[in-house]
Amino acid sequence: MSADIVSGTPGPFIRMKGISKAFGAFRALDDVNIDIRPGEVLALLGENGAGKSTLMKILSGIHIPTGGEIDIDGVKQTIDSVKTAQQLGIILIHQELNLLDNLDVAGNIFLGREPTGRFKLVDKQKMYADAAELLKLFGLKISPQTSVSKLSIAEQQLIEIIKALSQNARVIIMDEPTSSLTLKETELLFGIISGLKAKGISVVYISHRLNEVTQIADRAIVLKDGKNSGELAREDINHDNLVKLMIGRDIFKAEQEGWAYKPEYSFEAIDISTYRYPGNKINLRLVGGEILGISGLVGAGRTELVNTFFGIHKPAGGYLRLNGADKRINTPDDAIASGIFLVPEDRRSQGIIVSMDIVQNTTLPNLGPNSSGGIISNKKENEATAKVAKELNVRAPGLTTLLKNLSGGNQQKVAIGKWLSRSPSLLIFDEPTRGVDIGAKAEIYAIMRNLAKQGVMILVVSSDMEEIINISHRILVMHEGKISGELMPADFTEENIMRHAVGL
Amino acid sequence: MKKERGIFIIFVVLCVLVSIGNPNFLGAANLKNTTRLIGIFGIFSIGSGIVIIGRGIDLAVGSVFSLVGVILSMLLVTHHVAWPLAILAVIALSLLIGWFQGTLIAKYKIQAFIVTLCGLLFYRGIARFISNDVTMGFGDGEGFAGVQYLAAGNLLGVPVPFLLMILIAVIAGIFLHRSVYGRYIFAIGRNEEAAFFSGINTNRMVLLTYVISGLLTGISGILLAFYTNAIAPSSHGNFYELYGIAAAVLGGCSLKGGEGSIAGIIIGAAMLQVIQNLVNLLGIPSSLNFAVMGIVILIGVLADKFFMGRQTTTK
Amino acid sequence: MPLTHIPNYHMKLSAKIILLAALLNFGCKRNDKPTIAFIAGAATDFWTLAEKGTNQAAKELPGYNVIFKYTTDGATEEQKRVVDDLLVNGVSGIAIAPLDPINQKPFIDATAEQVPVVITDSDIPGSKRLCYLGTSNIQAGKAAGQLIKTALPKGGKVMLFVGKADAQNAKERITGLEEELKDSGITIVGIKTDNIDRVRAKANVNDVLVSNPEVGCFVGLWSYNGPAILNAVKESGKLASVKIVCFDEEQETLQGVQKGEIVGTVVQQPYEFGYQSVKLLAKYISGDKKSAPGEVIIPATIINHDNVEGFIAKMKAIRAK
Repeated sequence: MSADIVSGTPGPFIRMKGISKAFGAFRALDDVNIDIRPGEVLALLGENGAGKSTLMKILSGIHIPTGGEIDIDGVKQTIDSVKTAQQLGIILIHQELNLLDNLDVAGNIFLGREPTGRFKLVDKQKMYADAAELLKLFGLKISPQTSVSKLSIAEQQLIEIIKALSQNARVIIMDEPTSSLTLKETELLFGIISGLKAKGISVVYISHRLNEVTQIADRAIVLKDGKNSGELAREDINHDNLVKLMIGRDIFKAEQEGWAYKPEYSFEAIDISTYRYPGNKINLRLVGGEILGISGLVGAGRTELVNTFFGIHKPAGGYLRLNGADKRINTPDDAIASGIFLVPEDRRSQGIIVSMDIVQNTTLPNLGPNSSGGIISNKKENEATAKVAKELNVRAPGLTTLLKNLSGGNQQKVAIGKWLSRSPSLLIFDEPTRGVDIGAKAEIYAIMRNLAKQGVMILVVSSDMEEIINISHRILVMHEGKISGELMPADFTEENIMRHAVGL
Repeated sequence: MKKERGIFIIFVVLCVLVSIGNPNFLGAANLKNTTRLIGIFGIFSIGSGIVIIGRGIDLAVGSVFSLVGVILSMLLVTHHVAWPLAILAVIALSLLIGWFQGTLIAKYKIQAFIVTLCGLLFYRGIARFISNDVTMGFGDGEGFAGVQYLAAGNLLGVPVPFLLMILIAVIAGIFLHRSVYGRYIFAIGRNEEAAFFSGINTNRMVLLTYVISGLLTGISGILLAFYTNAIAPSSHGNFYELYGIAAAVLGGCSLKGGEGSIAGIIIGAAMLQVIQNLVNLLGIPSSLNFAVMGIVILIGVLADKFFMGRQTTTK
Repeated sequence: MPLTHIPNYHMKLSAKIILLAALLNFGCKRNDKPTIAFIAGAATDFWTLAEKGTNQAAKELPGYNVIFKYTTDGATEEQKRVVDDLLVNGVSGIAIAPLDPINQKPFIDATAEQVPVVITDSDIPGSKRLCYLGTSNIQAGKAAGQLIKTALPKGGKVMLFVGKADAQNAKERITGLEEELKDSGITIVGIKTDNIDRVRAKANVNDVLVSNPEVGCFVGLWSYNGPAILNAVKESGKLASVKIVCFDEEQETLQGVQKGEIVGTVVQQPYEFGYQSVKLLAKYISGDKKSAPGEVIIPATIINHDNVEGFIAKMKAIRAK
């Protein structure tokens, strides 16, 4: 399908024609065509590895294509560096933000373009005044002197957008901009995107979240396996059409059968307080077979709470009770010994060791049973890993594949798999599907449901509303270190969650 | 574990070239001399390497040699302590030094470079102070010839330090490559946070690497003291920490941690000694000694990179 | 009110400075007595013996403070710093063993304009020093040459071992050796350096035993080279076929001479360096400005099997002081 089929009123100003890109023997992009029109929001979709990011990195000068051409305003352009792209008005906002922690907000916005006064010195007064004006324009109540490290991820993202706009961007490419935003922040972002449209600035929006796309996109282009898979006009953008183009099946259609809880297994937090909110006592309880979701805004203390359950931090107060017995958990070692396991929030730096292979990652917390007299049995650990890998459908060339060569979804399966051979009592998932493609997401949900069916207690922390609503049996919402609400399935709506999350 | 193949090939090529240049290289006398030094240097290089694999560094080694040597001489010669007791005392001291440095690094999270750099200055200063800066010797070794045998003697024609190194290397190899603790050390070297999230007591493991390094430094320190038979406190063992680090790096350890093997470290240590041996045997001016060493280390690391690159692409 | 704070702060600061200065003075034991300083090289046995000499001189000169300072090998900037500190503290006379005689001339001249300077160990000819007091290293080299001749009466080959071949005293000793061995049928086949690393020093000997089996005499130019040669040769079992000649009076060297394992050693008398430098400076400072000689040569002595017992006894007496 060619990009020219759907015609809009203003003609495209950027055309990428027949773009190919190969990394060694791997063809990331194969004859891909897209166009971008002034003042539109173009959603670019596809599973991980479909080539969306590569395509946009080519447009923004990070990668050089191996074939094809780029026309801008009808003129063929060679974009061979980020600087060239910026001069042409093309700005990419990375998934991993690129702000400098040691500079303040204004310094970041004007980095490399600081206004100068006499003697070529930086005119700080003007810089702060300009920055303040831009911040006001976006309704941000942040001082330009604030250090970037003190901002939330959402705020940092907005700073990136402001930075892009102050560089006279014509098209802003956003790669998964909402992956760490809360609902409220996402809405703020959408407001800003509308504002950009009104100014005639185009936005290319890369996302996994289909409901966001249906909400804001004027047009959607779907890539699959490095090729054009299809294009949808505004009126055709809906969940079913998008999923069909992306993978050809629907992932959230999980069977909703009756759940059998096992109250003989239980986990209780009694007056637990964390180092972050030492004054706030938290009480919660879940039973075998239950999936308890914890929602809330970034900074509400969710991760600190579950990390405390796992012994990463010592509790500031209170105690835990597992199956009716009090537990003192001060280190991960204590938690593991009690059958409490955590699949942490930051996969690459906490969940797995990317430079070790599947076997070494899977058995790292289980070397006891896979060794005798302190000496590791390779046979035992290979067998144990093979079993888990098969159970979780880890797709890899072999068990000695290094984790860095696996997709995000398969990495996450390994991060989960390392606990499965130990018959968990409580398995905690913190942002279980962040950066995971849509196919693997479905598999991870299936794993969680399966474990629950076997009587394991599941605790899920997620910023993804759709996810927490779909997976949980019960939802606790946190706000500033306290549990501000508890929802039963009948009340599972994004509005209800948000209401508690902001403390209303 | 094919990583050390590259460096091993270079090592063999080097040995072949030297023996062509001077056939005496393979003579019994030279082999004895060189393997004795390889043994002494290899033992502490294993310790330095294990620390590096756990993403640390030990810069205090050379100064510990000086302190161990001075105290050993004082115990044996000045105070006439029985040699087994004296050996135990200095081993205990070097374990204590390892424990002290390891605690500061693991528990109090002070950077290893800083802790051991301060150690480098401190232990040397103490050694010079307690000896009044006077060269300490062992003289004829009356009363402790038994322990001198460890450094200077041969067993079945093989220098004792070399045999000792082989024994330690086998134990260290099993520890590092086969045992649970070894796996933990590699995991910590690659990603300490993820290791902690997997329930590993990372502080205790990091501490353990420094204690091991302390122990092996102590053993090497005793051998070294008897090798020179005299310890000039201000210069004894100066810069020797760099031999340990260079051997580890040559043998495939990455200063970023999580990489390396005992076999590689031993080959690296052996290579450094053969290089110095060849400078003399091939009649290269002594002044070029360090230059030759620098070039060979660089070639070794480049070759290692080349072999590693091939390994990952064929995978 | 900030204005009242500023002088207040300064007072505190100045009080600190006074206190610090008082401490420093106390540390230097400065009182009304004139101070004589002896600045040595690295802390080796050689200079510890010199220190004994200065101690003896100090005992005989109750009217003077005597300070002895070691400096690090090759660190000429350290010597300069030490001297600068001494001058600030009002030292009256300095004896110094220059580490780099050729390049330190301007520094010595500048110092000599403020206080009398005695150069010891390695002379700087043409400098403004008061006096040179030391051994002629050329003469010491010649003495070693005589020892080699007795060791190799039929001629032969010699290998030299030293820490750094470019050090002034090493160069002079080699010059003396070469002069003495001219036309004697004895050739120097090479010099092995070890950067003052005893392990390397011994390994060098081992390597030469393998690579140059024709060498009949091993010569250690610096103090620790003697024991290093002795140990290596002993361990390789070649004591019978290899002759050893060395310098200085390390304990093991003397034991070797005693047992006949070493042909002989050429000793300087560092004790005298220390003792006589201090005495000479004290005499000059006390007003006797005319009697100062331009050069005091402390002769280098050959110690061989015949006189070693007496020398050991003498050393023991000095060390016991």
